[in-house]
Amino acid sequence: MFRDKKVVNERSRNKQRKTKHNTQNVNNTIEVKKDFVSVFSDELNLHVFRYLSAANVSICSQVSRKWWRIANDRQLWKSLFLSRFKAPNRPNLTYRLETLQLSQTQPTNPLKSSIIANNENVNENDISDIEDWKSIYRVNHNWQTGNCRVIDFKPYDNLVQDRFQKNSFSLLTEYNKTQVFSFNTNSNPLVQFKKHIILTASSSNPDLNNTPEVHLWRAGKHNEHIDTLKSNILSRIIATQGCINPIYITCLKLDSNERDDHLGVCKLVSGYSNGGFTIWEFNTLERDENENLENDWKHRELYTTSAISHNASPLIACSLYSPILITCNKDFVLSIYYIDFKQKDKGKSKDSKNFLIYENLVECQLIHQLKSFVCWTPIEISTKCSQEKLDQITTNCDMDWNVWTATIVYSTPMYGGGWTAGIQEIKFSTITLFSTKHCSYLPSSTTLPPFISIAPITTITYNSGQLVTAHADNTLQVYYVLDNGRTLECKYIQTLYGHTGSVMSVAMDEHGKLITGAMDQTIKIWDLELKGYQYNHNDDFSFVGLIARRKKHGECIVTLNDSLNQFNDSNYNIPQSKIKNWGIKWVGFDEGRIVSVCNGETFDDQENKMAKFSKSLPSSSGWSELSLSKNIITESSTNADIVEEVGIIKVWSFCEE
Amino acid sequence: MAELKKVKLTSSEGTEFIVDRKVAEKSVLLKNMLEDVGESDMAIPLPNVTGPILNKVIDYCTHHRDDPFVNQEDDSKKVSDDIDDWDAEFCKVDQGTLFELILSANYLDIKPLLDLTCKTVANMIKGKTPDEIRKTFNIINDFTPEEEEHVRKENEWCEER
Repeated sequence: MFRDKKVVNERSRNKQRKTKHNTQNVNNTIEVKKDFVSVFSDELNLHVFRYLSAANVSICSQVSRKWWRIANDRQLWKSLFLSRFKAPNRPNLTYRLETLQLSQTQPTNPLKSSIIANNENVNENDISDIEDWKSIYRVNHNWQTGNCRVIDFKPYDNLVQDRFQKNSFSLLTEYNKTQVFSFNTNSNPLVQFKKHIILTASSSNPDLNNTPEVHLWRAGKHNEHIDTLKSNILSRIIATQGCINPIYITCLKLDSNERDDHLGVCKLVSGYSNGGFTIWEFNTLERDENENLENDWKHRELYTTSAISHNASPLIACSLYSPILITCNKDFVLSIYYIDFKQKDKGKSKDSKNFLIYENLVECQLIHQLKSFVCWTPIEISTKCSQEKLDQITTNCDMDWNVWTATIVYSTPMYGGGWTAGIQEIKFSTITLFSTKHCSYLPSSTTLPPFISIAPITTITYNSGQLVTAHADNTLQVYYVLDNGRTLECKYIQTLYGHTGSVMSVAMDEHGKLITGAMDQTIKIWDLELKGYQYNHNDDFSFVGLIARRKKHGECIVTLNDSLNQFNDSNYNIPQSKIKNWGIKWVGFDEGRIVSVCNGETFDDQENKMAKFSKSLPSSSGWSELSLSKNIITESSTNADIVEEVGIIKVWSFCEE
Repeated sequence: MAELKKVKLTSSEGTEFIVDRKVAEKSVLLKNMLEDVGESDMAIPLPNVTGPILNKVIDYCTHHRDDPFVNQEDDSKKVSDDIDDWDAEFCKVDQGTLFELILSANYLDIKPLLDLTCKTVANMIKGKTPDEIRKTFNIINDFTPEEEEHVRKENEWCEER
């Protein structure tokens, strides 16, 4: 009671001072100490607070309610953010961060509601800037300092026991696992994630009669298995036609076109060992267990390749940017499909329970096909729409007049030994192949910098003009891809050192944040940010090289150690013999978190791998167009590629969850 | 010569100050006023500024009369440790005077003085714990224990390491 009274007194005194302070004679002030925050306008208080660091400001917010309100000012945190981090060129960060939060039932901040609601003079400017800059600052701070919360789970431990027959599993463990050095694409092991949903494809049951499955998980307190995607069409084909080789999933990719994100639907493509694929759509919305809607659906199968030839080459990479699907098979035949969703609305009508009707409404047209003779794994494909509809065409027309750009990065052998990176950019519409440009980094012997690695490439990634390769000697190399109009130029920038094991997975965003996962059980976060350079989405990155010298370029910011002790402490039973092959096999990240996958069984066909190596080097270069009518004859076995089972999945969260 | 012109200022109590026009023009408020009024012998009343404070302000403006006018409004990192000796000495006043100076600098629109005084206050906050800040400025902690705990947790992440 005493305390409350005091507060009131203080407040009334402050009020008095506020009204009187202009006429007060300073010399008569008896009290030397006063709470200036109560005297000053918000503007003046913020002027003072602007000279404080983020740490000081957060201390200030703990002083009193008034101080808390000033210290949580959005504009204040915006300037703190801008002074420490780069100018954000991603719109609506708060929205993106909020969608990342695992639990929807986050307790609302009692202070925010009580203090802000009672405050009459809410800054008008706040309304125009809806970003929660303090949260954004915090997430970035966490990224920079490696401050994260880790959730881990081993998805197939329980599921294997529950669902799969013992004998198919024991067959696996007998598999010869002499690990020379395994090639990897960024989609192997087969994991993808979107918001809180983690998707995995299990390859642990290559059985003739089994239909491959994609599993959806939600990481959190209870690492729930939420859904299984299993193609009905493929099941029917297996049942009616029978298969010579078991069909399993060889690649998995989410739709990179985020146009429909706000609807809570996401598309997924799963590529199979028989060269076919399925396109899925699944619901990313959090659902209440109580609201059991009649028309509710968790996932649906949009399209599955129905014609299956037994000697087809397995898909090794795919990219979905709806409505464009690009696949690459083991013979390096690149197929570009246009997925026609135009009758989607009919399918969505009342009969949504009957998915078969829906399936038939989606058409998949092969629009271009190309073949390469110089391309080797690992290979990564990315697609984007480079030009919205051409002007002269009326919108009533049925055709899709967009122009897309597919960028394929791959490993390519050099004459005289060694490996280097190659890139090809293909511009196309549904009817025309406008241009293809390609290049690879070919150092001449005289100009070869001594530190350039020509060791085999373990994994490769490309984003917005930057190409990163990981080599078997644990180094990473960064290249800028310059567009010289008709040709591309691959410019070596630097080598990144630090990993003490083979880098198995790399992921990079358009701002140059690079995450690498390696066999040394560490994840490293690097900053390849193009400082002061706004990426121009009109494909023009010809001036990238001009700002090659940047202070923090290539600096490893944080190393996250995924040490073995953690596993030993936890409930996972991992035999010592396996531990030596333990490492991070896959990484992916978004604004707020990293998802990593470690270990996993490797079952690869050594003989076939060797055969792949000894292939004679072809003479032509780049991808050249194939006529669609030509039948591609392949003789490879479908089991040739390495497929890794998903081991332990870890979610490293940098945002408040 | 316009520079040699004197300007009369009247504080809230009616005390008259005569200063060089150049000194008075350090205040954007007075500069604009003088430009609007033109040549005049009329005293400019400053009802929001007391005599002792106006005296301090004139001291500051006289010392900095030849400083170039800088108009920088940016989001760049603000530093508070770039205060020179004269300015530091100038700011060695009690809190009441300091806060009055801030209010006057804001009213008279003298940006360098406002920056200086705000930096001085910021320096008083720096490196202190919430409790030390409360003691420094005689602030009553009006959080409930639950709220205090909540706010502490909310800001744990940002502690300097």
